[in-house]
Amino acid sequence: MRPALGTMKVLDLTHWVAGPFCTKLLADYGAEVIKVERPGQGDPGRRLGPFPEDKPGPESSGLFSYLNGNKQGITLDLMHGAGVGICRELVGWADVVVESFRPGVMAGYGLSYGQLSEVHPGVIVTSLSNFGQSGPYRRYKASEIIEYAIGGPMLFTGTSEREPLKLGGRVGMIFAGQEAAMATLMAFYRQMGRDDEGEHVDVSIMETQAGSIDRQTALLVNYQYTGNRYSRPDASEAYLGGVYPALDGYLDVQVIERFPQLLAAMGQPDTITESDAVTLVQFLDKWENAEGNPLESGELIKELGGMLEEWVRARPMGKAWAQFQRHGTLSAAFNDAAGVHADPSFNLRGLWTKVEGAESGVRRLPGRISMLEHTPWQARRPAPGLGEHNDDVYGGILGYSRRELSMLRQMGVI
Amino acid sequence: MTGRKLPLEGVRIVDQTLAWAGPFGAQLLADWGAEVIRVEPLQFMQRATRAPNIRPFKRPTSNWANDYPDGIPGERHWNRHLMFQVHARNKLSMTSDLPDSDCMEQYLKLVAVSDVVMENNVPQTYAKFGASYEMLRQARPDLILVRLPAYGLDGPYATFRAAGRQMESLAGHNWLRGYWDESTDEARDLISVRGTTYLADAVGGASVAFATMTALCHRRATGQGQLVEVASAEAVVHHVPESVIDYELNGRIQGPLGNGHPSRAPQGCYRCKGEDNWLVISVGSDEEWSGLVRVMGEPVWAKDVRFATALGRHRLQDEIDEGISGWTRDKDHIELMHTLQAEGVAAAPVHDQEELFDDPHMRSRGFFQEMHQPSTGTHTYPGMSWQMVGTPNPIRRPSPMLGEHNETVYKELLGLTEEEYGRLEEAGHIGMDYPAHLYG
Repeated sequence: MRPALGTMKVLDLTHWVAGPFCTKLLADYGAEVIKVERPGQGDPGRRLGPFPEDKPGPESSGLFSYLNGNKQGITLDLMHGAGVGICRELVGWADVVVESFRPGVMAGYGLSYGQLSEVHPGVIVTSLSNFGQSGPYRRYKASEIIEYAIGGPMLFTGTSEREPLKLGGRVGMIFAGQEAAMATLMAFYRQMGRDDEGEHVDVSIMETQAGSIDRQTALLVNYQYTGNRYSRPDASEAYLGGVYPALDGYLDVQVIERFPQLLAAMGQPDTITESDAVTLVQFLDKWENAEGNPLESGELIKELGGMLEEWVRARPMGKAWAQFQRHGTLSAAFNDAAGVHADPSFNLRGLWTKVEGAESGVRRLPGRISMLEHTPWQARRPAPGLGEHNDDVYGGILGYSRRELSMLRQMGVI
Repeated sequence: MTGRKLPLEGVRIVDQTLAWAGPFGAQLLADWGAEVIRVEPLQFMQRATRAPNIRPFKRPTSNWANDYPDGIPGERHWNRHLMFQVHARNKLSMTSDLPDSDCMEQYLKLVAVSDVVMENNVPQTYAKFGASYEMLRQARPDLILVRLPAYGLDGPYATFRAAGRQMESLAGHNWLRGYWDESTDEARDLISVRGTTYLADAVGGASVAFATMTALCHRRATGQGQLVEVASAEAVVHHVPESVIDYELNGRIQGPLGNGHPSRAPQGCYRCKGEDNWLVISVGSDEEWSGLVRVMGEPVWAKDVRFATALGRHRLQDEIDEGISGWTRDKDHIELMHTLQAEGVAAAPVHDQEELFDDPHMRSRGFFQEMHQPSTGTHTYPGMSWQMVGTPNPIRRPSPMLGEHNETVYKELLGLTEEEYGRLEEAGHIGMDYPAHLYG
C-alpha cells in the first residue's frame, strides 16, 4: 500500500525529544527519513530512560525506540569538513531538512538556510528551536519547564496556595514536535502544487506554548478584553466534581451546569441504596428551597460534592462511570500507566503496536496517532542502531565505494 | 518576499467543529491559507463554541470563561465572546439547519466544491445532522472527511461525553501532573484536574490538523480522498510515552514529578519580589550549576561538595531549593532571567498575560497581531503558532459574526437566486440571530 507521504524525503538533523517526534510523525506516515547522528555518541536522546530493568545502554532507551521508529540512521560528524560536504550531498537528495540545533549552529557548520538553498534550490528547512531563529532570546537556554513558564501556561496551573506547576512528562516538547511536523507538511504540500520555491520554517517552542489553546490563548484575549490577570485558582473555593476513589480505581467527574443530570444519575433506583435515597431527597429539598442561585452557594456545592464522593466510593469505577454517562455527566476513568495499558477502548481499537526486534526490548508502543482509511500508519522498521544504515545510505543513495567508506570511517567522519 | 501564496491557498474546508479542540485544528489550517467555512446551526448554539452558554451570565463573575469585552455581553453576544474570538480569525461563517432537507441540499452542494469536511461532535450527534460519509462522497468523490471524536467512532466509549480533562484522565496524563510531595487522594483531585491548563484540546487540534495535512498530501499525489479519524484521548497517550513505556519495560507506575525532572537538578519554580511573581530555573550540567552559584554570589551553602555532582543535586534538591528561594525572594523575576542566561543558566520568569504581551522577544518576532472585529473592536491577539520566513502571514480577516458570509457562500459560491435565498431566510435557516427566546 502506498503510504500518505510516500514521496517525501527527509534529512533529519534533530536530537533529544521535540525534533525526533516531528520526524517520527513524518516517518510514520511514509516519509523516507534519514536520521543523522554524531559518530560515537549518537543522539543524546539515547541516554533518556526508561531502560529495561533500568540498565542504560546506547541501544536500549525505550523513549528513543518510540521517537525514532520507521527512520534509517547514519552517523556523520558535522565538525569535520568532509562531514559537512557529505551533509550537503544529502541535502541534495532530500526534499526537507529538519534541524533542532541552537540558532547559529547550522550557520557555523556552513549549513545555514541560505547555504542549503544554494546546494538545493527549493529545499524546505524546518528549524525547531527553543525561542525561534530571531529575537533577543534566540540563544537563551531552555528545557521544557522554561517554555511553560515563559510561554505563559504555567502561571495558571496548580493552586494559588503554592508555586505554579508544569504539566506532566514532556508534553510541551512533544506538542512542539507535532506542530513542527504539521508546518513542514504545509510547506511540502505547497511544493507538491508546483511551487518550486523553498521555505524556511521557523518553529519557536515558546510560541507553540504561547499560542496553545485552553487556556493560554483564551487568557491572553481575556486580558485584552478586560485587563484581568489570571493566575492559579484557590483550592478552597467550592467546586463540584473532581477525582474520586471508587472501589477499584479512580473516577474523574466534572459537573458543568448539568445538575439535574447528575442528580438523576445518583438517584437511579436500580443502583441507589435506601440511605442514599433519603439523603438525596433531603438534599433536593434544600436545593430547591435555596435562596438565590444554588449553584453559587458554596455550602450546598460542598454538601453535594460530599454526597457525590460517597456515592462513587461505594461503587466499582466502571459502573459509576457508566451511570454518569447514561445521564450525560462528563466523566472518565482516571488512569495510571497500568490503567492506560489495560484500557479496553485503546486495546480494542488498536492503539498499540507490537514491536519486534527493537534493541531496547520494548515490545509494545503506541502505534498510529491518526487513522487514515487508505493510507494507514505502518510499522516498517524499529528505531535504528547507531550508524545502522551507513552502508545503505552512503553506498546506495550517494554511491560511495566500499573503499571510500572505509576511508571515511578511519577519518572518523562516519 | 510579499505576495507569496500561503501554503493552503485553494483548499476549502467545511468546518462543523465545536468547543476547543476541533476549532483549534481548523484555526491552524485557516491561518495558513485554507478557506475554512464554519457551518453553524441557527436554531441552537453549539455548546461551548460561540460562547459558553447561549444565555449570557447576567453579572460579571470571577470565571474567566464569562468574559466579553469589558465584561459586557452586549448585542449579539455570540459575536463577542473570547471563546470564539480566540480561534475563529481567518474563518467564514454561514448558517444552516441540518438535517432540514432544503439545508441538506445546499450543504451537499457546498461539500461538492470543498476539499475537506471537519467535525468533532459526539458520533451520535454528528449522525443527527443526517449526512453520512457515503452521501458526502457521492457529492465529492475525492473528499477528505476528518473526524475527531473523544475516544473513537467505535469502541466501548464511542457514545461517551467528554471534555479535554476526561480524555487526559483516561490517557494517563492527569496521573502525571501534580505537586510531587502531595500524593493523597485530595491532592490528586485538586492538582490534576482543577483550574489547570488542559492539554487534550491543543493535542486533539494539532493532531487532527496534522492528519488532515497527511491526507491532503496523499490526495495531491494520487487524487484519492479518504476518511480520517483521530481520537483525542489516543493522541494524548502519544504525548506521555515515557510513562507507558516504563510500565511496559519495568512494570513501574510513574507518578507526578511536580516541577522536577528525571535528570536535571536543581529544577524548580522559585518565588521572587512582588506578589505572585516566579522564576523557573533548570540546571542540566555542572557548568550550569557553577553559573548559578556564581550569579548567586558564591554563597557558602552552595559550595557544599555534596552539590558538586548531578546525582548529589538530585538527591538533595530540597536543600538546594531552600537556598535558591532565599536568594530569589527579593529579586525581580524578569531581570534574573537575563542575569542567569548571561551566565549560561536556563532560567525564565513565569509570565503573566501582560508580561507576555510586553515581552521584547515576542514583540521583536511580531508574534502578536492586531485585529479589528466589528463586534469587539480593535485588540491585540496571539498570532501564528510558527513562522515561515519566506511567507509573511498577517491575519487576513477577523473572526466572523454568526452568518456573516451567508450571502458569499449561498449566492456567490452555490449560485442561489435571490428568491431561493429568501426562502431559506424566511424558513429561519439563514440569518444572523438565534431565536430570541433562547437568549432573552
